[in-house]
Amino acid sequence: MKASEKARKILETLVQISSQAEVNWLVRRRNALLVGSGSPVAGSGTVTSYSVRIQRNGRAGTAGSEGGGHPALIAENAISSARTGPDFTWDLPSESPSTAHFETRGKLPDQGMVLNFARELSSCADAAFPGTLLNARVSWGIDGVGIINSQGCVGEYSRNRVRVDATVSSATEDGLCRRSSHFECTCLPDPPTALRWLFPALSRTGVPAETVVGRKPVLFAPPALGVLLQAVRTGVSGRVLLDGASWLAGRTGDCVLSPLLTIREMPLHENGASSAPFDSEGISTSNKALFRNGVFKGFVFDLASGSEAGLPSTGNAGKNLGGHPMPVCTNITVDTGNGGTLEEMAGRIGNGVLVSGILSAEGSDAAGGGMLLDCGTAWSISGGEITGKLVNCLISGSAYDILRNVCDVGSVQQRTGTDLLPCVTAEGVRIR
Amino acid sequence: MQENRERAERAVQASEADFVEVRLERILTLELAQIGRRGGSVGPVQREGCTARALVSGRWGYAWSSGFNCIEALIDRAAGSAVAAGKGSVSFTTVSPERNSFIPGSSEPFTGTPLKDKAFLCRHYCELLGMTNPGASARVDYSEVLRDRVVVNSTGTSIREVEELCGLRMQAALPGNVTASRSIAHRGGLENLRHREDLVREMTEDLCMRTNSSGPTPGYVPAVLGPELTGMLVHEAFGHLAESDVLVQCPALGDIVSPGRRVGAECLCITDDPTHFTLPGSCSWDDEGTRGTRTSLVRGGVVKSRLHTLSTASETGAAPAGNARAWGTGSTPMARMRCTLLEPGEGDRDSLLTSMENGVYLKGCLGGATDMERFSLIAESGWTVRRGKIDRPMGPVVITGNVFDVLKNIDRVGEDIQLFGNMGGCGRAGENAIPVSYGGPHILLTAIRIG
Repeated sequence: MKASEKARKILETLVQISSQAEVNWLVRRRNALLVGSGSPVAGSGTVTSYSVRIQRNGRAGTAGSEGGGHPALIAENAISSARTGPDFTWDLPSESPSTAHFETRGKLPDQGMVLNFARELSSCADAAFPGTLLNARVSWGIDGVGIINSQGCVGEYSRNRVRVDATVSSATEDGLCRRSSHFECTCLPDPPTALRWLFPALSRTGVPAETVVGRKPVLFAPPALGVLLQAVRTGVSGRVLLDGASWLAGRTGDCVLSPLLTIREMPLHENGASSAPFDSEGISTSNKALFRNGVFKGFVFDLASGSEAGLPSTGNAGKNLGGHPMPVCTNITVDTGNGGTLEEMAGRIGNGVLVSGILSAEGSDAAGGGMLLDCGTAWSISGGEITGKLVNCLISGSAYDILRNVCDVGSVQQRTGTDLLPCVTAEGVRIR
Repeated sequence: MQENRERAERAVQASEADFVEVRLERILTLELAQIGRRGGSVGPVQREGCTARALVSGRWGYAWSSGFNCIEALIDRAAGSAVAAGKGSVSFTTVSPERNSFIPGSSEPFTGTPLKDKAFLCRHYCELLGMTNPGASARVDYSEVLRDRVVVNSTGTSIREVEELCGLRMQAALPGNVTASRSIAHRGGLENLRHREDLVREMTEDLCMRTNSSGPTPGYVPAVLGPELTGMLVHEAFGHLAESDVLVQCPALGDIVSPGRRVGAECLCITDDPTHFTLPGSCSWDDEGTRGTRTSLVRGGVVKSRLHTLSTASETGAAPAGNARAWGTGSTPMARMRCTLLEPGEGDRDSLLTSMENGVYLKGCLGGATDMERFSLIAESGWTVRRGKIDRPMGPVVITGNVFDVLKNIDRVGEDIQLFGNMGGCGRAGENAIPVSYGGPHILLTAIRIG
């Protein structure tokens, strides 16, 4: 039975016990190839899952199923969830979203192409840092996504998805050097580009530098900037606003970041792994600037948080299997500047620090912006040159303060996770 | 599940591949959150799936699907993938086949408890946190996982194990980013989560202490670590290094953690033990069907053994001890930790503080990470220590360093061992997080970097 047919059957069951109901489905078809020093391992599989939400006695109930799951059992689970669920005081959409112009760009690879890609990636890593061993897991396939609700809304689309997880390791005279990274998009990039996305400063020396402390200019490579932007992802959520936890509350229209920064939420990006023509409640999505030249443009909402705030949904509902929708961002992009390459930006810094990866950001207050970042991979910049590796480099302070002090933005976007980000330099970052 | 297990047994025996393994999983999950006065839930969610692995001419192939409808087709697809990959040189150790089941009971199974009772439990702790800490925002999360899994392979192994796991996470925050939290998880039913008002009391004390704390002065200092932090340090600083499939990715590590190599002082004894059956990560058999047994990783500061799958055990000639773990449809078994602990030595906390004289005392753990070269842990609470006595509170403290250096700095190990588990689990690049537990006694480090 097709996923859409089963979703319809589930909905038929749900409408018998609830006044409003919706069913989401996701079919993940994937191929995978693990490559490293041993023999490659190939695999493939399909996982189909259904999420439901019902309105019952004025409350919302949810349930989820992957694989089996009879419609009656899913309905029973949703009913039990509704007994303790949040208020459900709005209407589900009755209009179906348009998917006519939605298309993700790029051709999916075959197994041979992926094997060649992994071998070339490994050669590029070895050329950048001789003796490096690269292990990669590449998975690729198509997501089939759909929604149907009791009010007549129906939508369905598919998108390509390619994910590369890689680890490089090498033994140097100063010990072991090991880094992991990943990105997701809709097609395989060429191996040199992929290596740059994964490990932006792989060729840097492993020789330890003198410890750096105090307030310094810091050049954040895209993977490190991605961690800083977690504060933005969380802070722009309408749910976090309603919970009273967002630092951005009351700051719509204010210039809160550096005027050099324009940060966008891009659900219709043609190469975005999280691209979608409609959100998980069936509301059409749109590309939007979250911050334009540093000015905060507004929060993102789903139906529930929008209703509570007296505003419409912005088409940003996302949910985990069996969960309630929450306002979320999809593909985040930061507009490029005139800063040139990472090396050119380092040259302008004079003396400072390059951070290309964050080992740990736990304990951070993401919604409020407070952070204590353990920089896993950081280098000292002296006289405009990247001179040596920094050990035990910690950055503390507010992510919003760091983003307000950005003084240089690179000219090249790189993919990190599902985001597209350039390098940025921030002044006066506290290093301890 | 029993019917599907028998189907899998027949399908495995009918296959012509050199080796075939089928894993069936049914996972039921529920998450509840009480945030102030607002409640919410994720689920209930039921996941069912089958993952098949086949070895043909020295190469693995694998295939997976949600549901149990196509076990036979998945074996064929996995074998097809292996054949398409050509000839290889994969070998694996075989263990004595077992046919057995382990379906433990609990005094208050969560499957029989109405969802509203679990929501009431969250609300109860959340209200208590709010009442005892005026002005604080409170949040309590409840999670439960019921995992029913079958592993069948062509050597004749057929095992079934049911894991019932539930836990709570309590958080409270005062204005000014003053926070406190507690996480607990157990293998068993709700009986382990009731009457835990002691956690609320501890959090209230923590909040009070942190309101008056100043941050740490960054630098290298002597430190006494509490049992939870000790357990997490051992997990991050040595446990991940001992996972043998990482050595395939990085042969240089093989020399650093090879059996016989000294990695620390005489007092350092690290064990990975799956037989603490009340804790997350415990198991009767792993996800390759190997019986879980206690593994001594370090004894007297010297590496004794590492954690293995059947493949890595074959490559190194070691005996597998049930460390091949996978979680969820489509994941393949990797060498992973279960309950990793530092064995107790002599002396209590106060004797270690006296021995240290001046330094810091750190306890509780908010999380940790390692890239194998370095580690980073966040101690939930810290105090300066003067003349062997606890002095000034510092609030949360980050400890960080080189994984190879920190073990050498463990100078004394106390006797007061405690074990911990939470619902977060342990993740590795690109793979699902799996339940683990960890622990140890108080320890004294000659130097560690705090920030």
